Amino acid sequence: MKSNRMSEANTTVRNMLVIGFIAVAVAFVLMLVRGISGTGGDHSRTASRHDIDVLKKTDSSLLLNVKMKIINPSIGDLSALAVDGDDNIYVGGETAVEMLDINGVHVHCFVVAESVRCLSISPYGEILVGLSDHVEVYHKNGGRKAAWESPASNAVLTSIASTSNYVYVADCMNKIVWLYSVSGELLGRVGEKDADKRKVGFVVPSAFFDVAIARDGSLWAANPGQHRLEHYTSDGRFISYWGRPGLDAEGFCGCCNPSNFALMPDGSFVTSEKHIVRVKVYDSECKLKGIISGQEEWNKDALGLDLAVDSKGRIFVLDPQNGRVRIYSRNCI
Amino acid sequence: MRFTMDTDIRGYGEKPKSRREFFRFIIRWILLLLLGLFGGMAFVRRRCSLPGGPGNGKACGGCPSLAKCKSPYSWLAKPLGSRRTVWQLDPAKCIQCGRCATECVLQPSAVKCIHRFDMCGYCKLCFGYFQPGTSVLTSAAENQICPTGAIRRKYIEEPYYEYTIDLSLCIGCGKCVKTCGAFGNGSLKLQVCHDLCVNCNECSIARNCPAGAYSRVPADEAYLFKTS
Repeated sequence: MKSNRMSEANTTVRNMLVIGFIAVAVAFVLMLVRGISGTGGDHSRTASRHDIDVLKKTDSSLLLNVKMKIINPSIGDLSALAVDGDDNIYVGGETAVEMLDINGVHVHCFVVAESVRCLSISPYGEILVGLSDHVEVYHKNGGRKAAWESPASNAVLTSIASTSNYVYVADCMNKIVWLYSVSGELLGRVGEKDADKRKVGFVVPSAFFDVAIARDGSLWAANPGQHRLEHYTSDGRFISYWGRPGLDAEGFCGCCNPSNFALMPDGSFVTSEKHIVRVKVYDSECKLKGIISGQEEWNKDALGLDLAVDSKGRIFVLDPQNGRVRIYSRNCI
Repeated sequence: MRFTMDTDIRGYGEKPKSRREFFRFIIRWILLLLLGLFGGMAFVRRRCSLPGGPGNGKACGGCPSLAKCKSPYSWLAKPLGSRRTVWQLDPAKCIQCGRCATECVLQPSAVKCIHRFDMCGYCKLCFGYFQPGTSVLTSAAENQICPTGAIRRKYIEEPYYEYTIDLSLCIGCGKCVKTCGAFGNGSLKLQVCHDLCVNCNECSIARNCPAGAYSRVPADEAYLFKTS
C-alpha cells in the first residue's frame, strides 16, 4: 500500500517536472523566435511619452460657441486666402487664384506664373498676388495689370495688406515689411532693425510673418519671434505692441507665433498659431475672448492657417492640409 | 531513404563503382551549381545596368540600397564585395521614445543630438533648451529640458542665442529633439555618431525601435538629415 502511494507520488512529481520542462522549452523557443525575427512585439504602447499631448489639449471652457461651414475650392496646394469688400473669397494655390462666393460656389479662376504665397484685395478691387519674391497685380477678371519689381534678390514674401494709399508686403527672409505705393513704387521699409537705437526689429525664425490693416488705415504686423503683434502708423512708425509667449491660452506658443492674424470689423483680433494649432479671438483691448478652434480639430502637423474676415465678421480659416476653407460664423462671438 | 554506395544517384541506372567516384560526382555537381550561380549574378547585374533596366542605364553600384531596386533578382545582384554599410536613424521616422539612450550596447549611447544650425531660429525662448512652460529664461538646471545639461546657450545679440551640443554629455534621450520639433523649427536631430558606434551586426537599438527608424546605410553617406 505504502509502496503504491510512493509510486503515485513519484509519477505525479515526474509529470509535473515534464510539464515544467515543456513550458520552459516553449518559452525558450518563443524568446528565441522573437530574438531572431527582431520584431520584439509592438513597443509603441509602452514607449515613453512626453507630456506634449497634454500641453496641446484645449481648455474646453474657453471654446467659443461658433458654427462652422466648410467650402472646398477646386484648386490644389492652397497657401493663401483673402476676402474682398463684397465678401467673395479668394484662394491662392499652385500657380492659380480661384474666386468663390460665400456659399463656396466657383466664380472664376486664373493662372499665375508661380505658386501663390500670399493674397490681398485692394480697396480698388485689384487682386494683389505675392509670388516668391515679387508682387503681381491682377484685375478682378484675371487679367494681369502689373508685375512689381522684387524688393530684394533674396526676398521671400509671406503677406500683403493694402490701403487706398499704401501696400505693405511682409518679407520673412529680410525680416522687414516693404512699403509700396499703390502704383508699385517702393517707398520704404517698416520695422527695420536698428542696433544704435536698440531696435530689435522683426524676429522671424520661420516662414510665417503676417500683416493686416486696422480700420483707421494703420498697420499691424506680427513679430512672431517676439510673440507679439506690433502696431505702426500708416507710414511705418512704431506705435505699440501687445502679446506674450506662453503655452496657456492667453499667450502665443512655440518659437514663433502668431503665424497669421486678421482684424475684425469691431477691432478684435483673430490669431492662428502653429505647433499648438489653435485659432483664438482677442478683443480690441487685446484680452482673450476665447478659442474658436483647438488642436483637436486640426491635423497634428497643420501649418499656415491663413485668416481673413469679411464685412459681417465671419472668420475664414485656410486648411491647407485638407485643401479647404473653414468659415466660422460670428453670431455667437 | 537510406543513402548508400549502391543507391542510384545518377538516376539512369548506373551505380558508382567506388567511394572516390562518388565524391568526384558530388564535387562535380557542386562546381556546376556554383558556376550557374555566378553566371546568374553576372547576368542580373548586367541587366540592371542596361538602359530601361531597373538601374536605368546606370551601374547600380552593387545595389547598396536593395530596398530601392525594382529588380526581383536584386538579392542576386548584390556583389560579394558590396559597399560597407552602417546603422543610422532616420529623423523623419524617429518618435523620440528615449530607447536610443537605454538600448545601445555603449553607455552613454552612440546616438547623439546633432544641431542643424541652418534650420535654427536662434530663439531666445528655445523649446529644445527650456522646459515647456518655463517663465524665467535662465540657464538654471530646473529650466533646462536636457537631463545632463548637454546644451550650451550662448548670447549672440538681442534677441538671438546660439545653442550647441556638448556631445560628451549627450546621452541621446531625444527630449530636446521632441520639444524642438513640437514647438520649434525642428533643427535638433538624433543621429548615430560613427566615431563612437561599434556597428554591431544586429543593432540592439534597431531591434527595439518602435518606429522602425533604423536601417543600414552606405558608410560614405552615413548621416541622414530631414530637411525643413
